[in-house]
Amino acid sequence: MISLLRAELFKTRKRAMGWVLLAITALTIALVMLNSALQDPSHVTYAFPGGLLQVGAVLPLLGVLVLIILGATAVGSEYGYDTWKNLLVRRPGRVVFILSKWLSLVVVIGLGLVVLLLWAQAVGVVLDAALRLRSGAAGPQFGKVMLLLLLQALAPLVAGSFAILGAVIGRSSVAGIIAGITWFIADALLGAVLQPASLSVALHILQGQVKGIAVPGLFVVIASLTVAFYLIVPVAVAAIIFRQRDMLGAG
Amino acid sequence: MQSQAPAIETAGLTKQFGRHCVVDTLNLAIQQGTVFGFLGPNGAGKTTTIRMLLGLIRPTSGRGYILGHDILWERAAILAHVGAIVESPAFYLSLSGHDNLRILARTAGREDSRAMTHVLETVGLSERARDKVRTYSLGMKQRLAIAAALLNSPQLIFLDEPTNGLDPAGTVEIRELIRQLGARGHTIFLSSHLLHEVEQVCTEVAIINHGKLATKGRVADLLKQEATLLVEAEPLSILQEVAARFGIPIQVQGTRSVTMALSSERTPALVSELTEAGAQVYQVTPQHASLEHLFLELTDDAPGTNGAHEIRVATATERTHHDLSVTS
Repeated sequence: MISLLRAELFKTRKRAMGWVLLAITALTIALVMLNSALQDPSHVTYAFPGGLLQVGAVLPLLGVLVLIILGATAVGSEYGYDTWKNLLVRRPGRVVFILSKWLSLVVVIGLGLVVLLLWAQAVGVVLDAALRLRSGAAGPQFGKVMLLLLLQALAPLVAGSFAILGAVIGRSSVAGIIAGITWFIADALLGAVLQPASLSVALHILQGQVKGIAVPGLFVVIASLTVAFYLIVPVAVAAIIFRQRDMLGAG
Repeated sequence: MQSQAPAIETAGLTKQFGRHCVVDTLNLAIQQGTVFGFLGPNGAGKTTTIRMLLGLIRPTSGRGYILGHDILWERAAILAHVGAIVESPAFYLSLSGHDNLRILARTAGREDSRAMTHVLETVGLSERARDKVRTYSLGMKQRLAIAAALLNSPQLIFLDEPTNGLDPAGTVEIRELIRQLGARGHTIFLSSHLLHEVEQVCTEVAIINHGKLATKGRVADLLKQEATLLVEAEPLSILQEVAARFGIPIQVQGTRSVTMALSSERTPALVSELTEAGAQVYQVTPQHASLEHLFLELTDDAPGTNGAHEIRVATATERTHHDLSVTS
C-alpha cells in the first residue's frame, strides 16, 4: 500500500496541473488578505497566528474545486491514458488502488495546507508591516486556528472523494468533475432542506463548538456522524464499483 | 508456484457481453517454455481472452489457470510471474520512459533501479529513457511496453499485437526481441493477426474466430496437414477423373492445372495413374503450405461475407513483409 501511495504521489508531483492549482490558490489567498486589509485596516491584523486563519477563507470554495479536479483526474486520467491495464496486472486486488488515490488526496491536502499556511503567514507579516495593520481584538489561539482549518479541509477532501466516485462510475475525469460539483451544489441545497444530512452544516456545527459557541451535545454527535459518513461512504462505494468492473480498455 | 503446471490452461472459458458471446468455451493448454501464437481476425476474442487471463475482466463461465494458479482466486501468485502488453501501449505521456517504469515498479511494490536500467537496455531505449514518452515514436512506445512487461523478470509474457502500427524495420526488431525472449526460456503468449509473424516466431499456435477455437497445435504439424500439390497435366478431364478415384477434392487453377491436398507418399501412385490413363503430366510441384492459407480456410471470412470482418490478403508489395492484415 505504501509503495502504491508513493507511486500515486509521484504522479501527482509530476503533474504540472497540481502546481498551477497550488499557485492559483496561493495567489488568491494573498489577494483576499490584501483586499481585507485595504478595506478595513483598523480592524485587521495578520499577526501570528492570524495570518494562518486566512487560508480558511479559500478552502470552502477554491479548495473544494481544486480537490475535485485532483480527485477526478487521479482516477479519470488512468481511464484517459488507458493505463489501468498496466497497473492492475501488477498488483492483486483493486480496492487498494482506489484507497491509494484517496490517501494521495489526504496527503496533498496536508502538504498543501502546510505550504499555504506558511505562505499566508508570510504574506500577513509583510502586509502587517507595510500597511501598519492594527486590531484591538485579541488574536486567535494557534491550536484553535489549526483545528478550525482541519475541519474546513474536510469539505475539499469529501468533494475530492465524490470526484473519485464520479470518475469511477463515468470512467473519465469529466464525469468526476461533474460528480464533485454536483455534490457540492447538492450539499448546499441539502443544508437548506435537511440540515443533519449536509456536510457543510455538520462542519459549521463542529467549528462552532471549537470557537466556544454553545452547541447541544446531540447536534455534535449527529454532525460527527455526518462527517464520518461523507468521509467513508463515497470512497467505499467507489472501491466496490471499481472492484466489480470489467476493465475493457479505452478502445 | 507449480513448476510442472502448464503455463496457461483454460477449461470452457467464456465471456459474454449481454447476448454477445465474445469468447466461447475456450479450451487451451500451453506448456511452459512455449512461444505460443494466438491468431484470429480483429474482434475474434483474442484481447478479451488475455484480459480474462490477467484478471482485467471476469469470465462469464469456465476456469483458467496460469502456472497452475486459478486466475480468479490466486492473482497474487500469478502476477508476480507474469508480464503483459495488452493492446496498444499506454503510458503517461508527460512523463519520461524511466518515470513510467518507476511508477509501474512502485505499483508492483518492487522498485529496483538496476532492473529498470536492464530492461531499458534490453529493448534499446537507454538513450531516450529520460525523454518524455510524448516524444517517442510508436515503435519506441512498443519497446517501452515490452520493457515494462519484462520489469519483474516474468516467466510468462503476454504480448498482444506487439508489432501493431510498426514500420517494417520496427516489426523485424520486435520480432527478433520476441525470439530472443523465447530462447531465454520465457513462455510467450503472442496474440496477433499477422500470420507470418506468428509462423516465424511461434512453435505452437491456436486460431480463434468469433470467440471459438478453430484449431490448435504445433505450427509444423498444422502446416504438414495443409500440404498441397500443384499438378499440371492434360487433358483436364483425366486429371479430374483420377483425382476423384483418389477421393481428393481439387481446385482447378487453369486449363491444365489443379491443386490438391495429397501426402508425398501417395504422389508416385497419382502420377502413375495419370500416365496409365493417358494424361500428359508436365509437372507435380509441392506447394509451400502457410498459416495464411490455414487461417483463411478456418476463419472463412471472405471479404464482405458477414460484414463483421474484412480480410485483406497482402498485396505483392506487402508480402515482402509477409503479413496478412485483417481490419475490422
